[in-house]
Amino acid sequence: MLDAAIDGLLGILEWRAFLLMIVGIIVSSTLVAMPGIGSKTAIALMLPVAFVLNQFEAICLIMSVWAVSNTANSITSILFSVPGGGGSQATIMDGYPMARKGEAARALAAAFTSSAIGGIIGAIALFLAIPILRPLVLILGPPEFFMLVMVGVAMVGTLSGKAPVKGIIVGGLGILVSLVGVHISTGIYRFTFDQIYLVDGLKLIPVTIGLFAIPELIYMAVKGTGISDVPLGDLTKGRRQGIKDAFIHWWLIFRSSLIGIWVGIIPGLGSSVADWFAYGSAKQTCSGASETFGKGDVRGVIAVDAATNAKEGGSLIPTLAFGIPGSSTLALIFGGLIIVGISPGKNMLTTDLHLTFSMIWLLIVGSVITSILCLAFTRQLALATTIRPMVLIPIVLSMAVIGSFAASSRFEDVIIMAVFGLIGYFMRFAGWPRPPFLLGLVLGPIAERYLWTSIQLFGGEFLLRPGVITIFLILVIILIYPLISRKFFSGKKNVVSG
Amino acid sequence: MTRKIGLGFLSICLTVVSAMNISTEAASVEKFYKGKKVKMIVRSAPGGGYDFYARLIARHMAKHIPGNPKMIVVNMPGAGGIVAANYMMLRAKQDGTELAILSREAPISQRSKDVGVKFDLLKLNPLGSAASSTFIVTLAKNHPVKTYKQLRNSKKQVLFGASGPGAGSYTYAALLKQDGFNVKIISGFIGGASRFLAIERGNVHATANSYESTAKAIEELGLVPILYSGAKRSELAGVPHISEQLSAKGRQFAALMAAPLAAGRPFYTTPNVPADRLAVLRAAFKSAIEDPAARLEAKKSKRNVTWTSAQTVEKVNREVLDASDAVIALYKESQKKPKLDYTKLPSVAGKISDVKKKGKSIVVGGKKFKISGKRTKVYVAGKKVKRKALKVGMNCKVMYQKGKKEAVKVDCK
Repeated sequence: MLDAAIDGLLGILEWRAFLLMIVGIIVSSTLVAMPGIGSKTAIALMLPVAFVLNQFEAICLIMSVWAVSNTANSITSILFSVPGGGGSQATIMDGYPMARKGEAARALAAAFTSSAIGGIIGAIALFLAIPILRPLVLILGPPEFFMLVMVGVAMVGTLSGKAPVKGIIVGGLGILVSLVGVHISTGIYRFTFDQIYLVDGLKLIPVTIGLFAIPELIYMAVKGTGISDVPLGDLTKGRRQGIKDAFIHWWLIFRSSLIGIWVGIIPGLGSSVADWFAYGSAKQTCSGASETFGKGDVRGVIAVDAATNAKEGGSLIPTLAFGIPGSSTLALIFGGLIIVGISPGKNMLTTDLHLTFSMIWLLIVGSVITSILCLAFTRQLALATTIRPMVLIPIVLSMAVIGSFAASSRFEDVIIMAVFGLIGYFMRFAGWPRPPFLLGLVLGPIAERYLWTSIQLFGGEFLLRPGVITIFLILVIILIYPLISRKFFSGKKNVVSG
Repeated sequence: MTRKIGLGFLSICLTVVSAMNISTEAASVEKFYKGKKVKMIVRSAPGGGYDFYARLIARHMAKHIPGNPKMIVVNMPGAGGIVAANYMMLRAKQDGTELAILSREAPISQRSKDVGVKFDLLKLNPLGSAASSTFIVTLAKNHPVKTYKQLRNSKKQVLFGASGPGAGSYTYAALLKQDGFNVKIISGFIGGASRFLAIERGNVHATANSYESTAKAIEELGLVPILYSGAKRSELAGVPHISEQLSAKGRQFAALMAAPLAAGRPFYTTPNVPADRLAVLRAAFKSAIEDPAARLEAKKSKRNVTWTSAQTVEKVNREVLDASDAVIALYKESQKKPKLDYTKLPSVAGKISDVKKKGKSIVVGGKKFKISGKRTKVYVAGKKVKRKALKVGMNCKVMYQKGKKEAVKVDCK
């Protein structure tokens, strides 16, 4: 095993491979970080190059585009409230308020740093999982996955802030909207009104951009100021503070990374919810979070970015062991790696173990390099928050439109973005929480599919499986933890005051 | 003599003129494509087979088109490929600058009038197909059923993992089920790998999949292929064809499903493309597939490439579009959730000896049944009534599903 680990490391440090990794990182942090160009498109364009590469070089080039895209995706989330990709929606929640308070540099630095640490933790988890990779995935069947998703649903409450009822209503609406389209397990058309666009349901990216970016644009236009209305202060100091923040909250990073890894392991759940789960859990467990989260608390940024990058290690677990890609991007990557003779399955844990290790090393080395690279440009990026709205609004608006359109080249997506932009604007000003809507939209179909398959297989008895009961107990603990802790803390306060 | 010379002269003239005509045609095609961009529309998102073949052809086709246009790949996923096909039919430029890889199932969608179909494959111009496909059914290594014949006669129900209606994994299992095989479909397993995992975990026993994506699982998990459909492959020597154990009706259905496999990766251009450009595109498509560089790339990616002519694609489309209504009805029926066949359900007849909780539970012939207010159908004297109408002493026949306490139908006199 040690030999394989060293082989893997040497493989990606060989100069050509290393150089290709840098190319991948640069593509990922510039092109992919812009809304509209997903890592999938970038990878599809790079695949033909793989025909002339060796195995390590191909891993370095193709996987680095994917492995580090989360880090730079936070940039537009923090600066403009436009998510750079599916996984960086929750970064907006506290990152954007920080930018508005003139703390863009601190938010970016904290995001980049925690992203690097999260990436490393994810890679270590993958490394530790190697001996138990296959048994681990084998004990998790559709019933267990269903329950794991339910744990996520329990987060809806915490994401709703002080208005849990509003949160549940919005989450329910999200699930309702997610029902639109062909039901995958039965082929029944639901709420499609014979419109071909609705057959595939509403897509996450246009809805997210609409809910989060458009309201900010309207707000900026009405107010007539830039993103940040306070002077920026010393950017270098802000950056230093952000890095420091990440290390002060190392325990939060660790917890959030575990959440990321857990989400990564569940196929289909993937990128678009790890950030929300981490955010919800941070909000629930950090002291005083209910007051400060959503108003520019650096912990909100740290938790999210650690989790989104850590989940990549987790998502490699089912992919490497069984060839079940944790996300469609991974499906594309491993489709491409076949070109150089790498195919996921048992062999990745035996004869090709050195390749698995090279991927683990890539996650570690790539994350660190990307973060350093991004940190270097933090000051320049932060200046974007001072651009005048006359200049900024058209730029961000075009980012939003392109971002919505590019994923599937359909104009209807832009209309959806606009409609949800209006809805988001009213929600924002009426004090309705927006994240539960996205959770409902993402989790609804996944939960339904696992539930459907579980019932077909075991009937109602699937609820009695030991794994399901164990996860259910965890869910109960998550639900009652805030009540207990509130009682505990309020009791303590009474003692102090009394 | 003069006449002969005259004729000879005339024929020479004609040859020269026609040759000039051809060369001017070629020149005009070259002039047309020079500096142009040709779009290659993909019916699905990046990743997966269709995307692979589209990009492979896009990389190697341009150099075979006079004027060497630039090729750009545009992914246009949606509604199982219907979106892309509609785009080619209605919105794409009809001058030979827009090509597309469409679903192999497109003719079935068109014939069965799926929601949203606005294309007509007989009007779109096929360029040919880049590969033929084979579908196989495999069973778990240690499953008692080892052959197709044993599956036909299996008394124990065999569980088939499938993604959902519309997918091959579902339709092939549904085909066997319709033909009387003791098969149950468990849907919701998306992607071949997740079905192989479900087999390994013991959740399901079998699955239908393309040969390409099953090859590794056969080798690693010891899955046993028991039947195939579509193109014959040397690796599957000795494995029987699907029609071997099917009824005449089942065979027709199987033929409908197999037809598109012959043109597994079909490429098209829009309607009304000028004939000279269409001919050039078809020739360039063929050259691209036969290009050694393209072959090598496909081999490295473990994908098979076989050129199939535009005429064959057209023939396949016609075959499916001419399918009888009976076969299409079979296909449509297979995509629906099966309705219960009341005649096959076990039943108990006798007097109701006990009624509890306003009819929520009754006892007939010593057996206790739950009566659902929503799912159980209750009839008294041929009239549909609510469950509270059930009273002790009524003479009833109760139908139920094996192993379940809830009654499906209660018919009382």
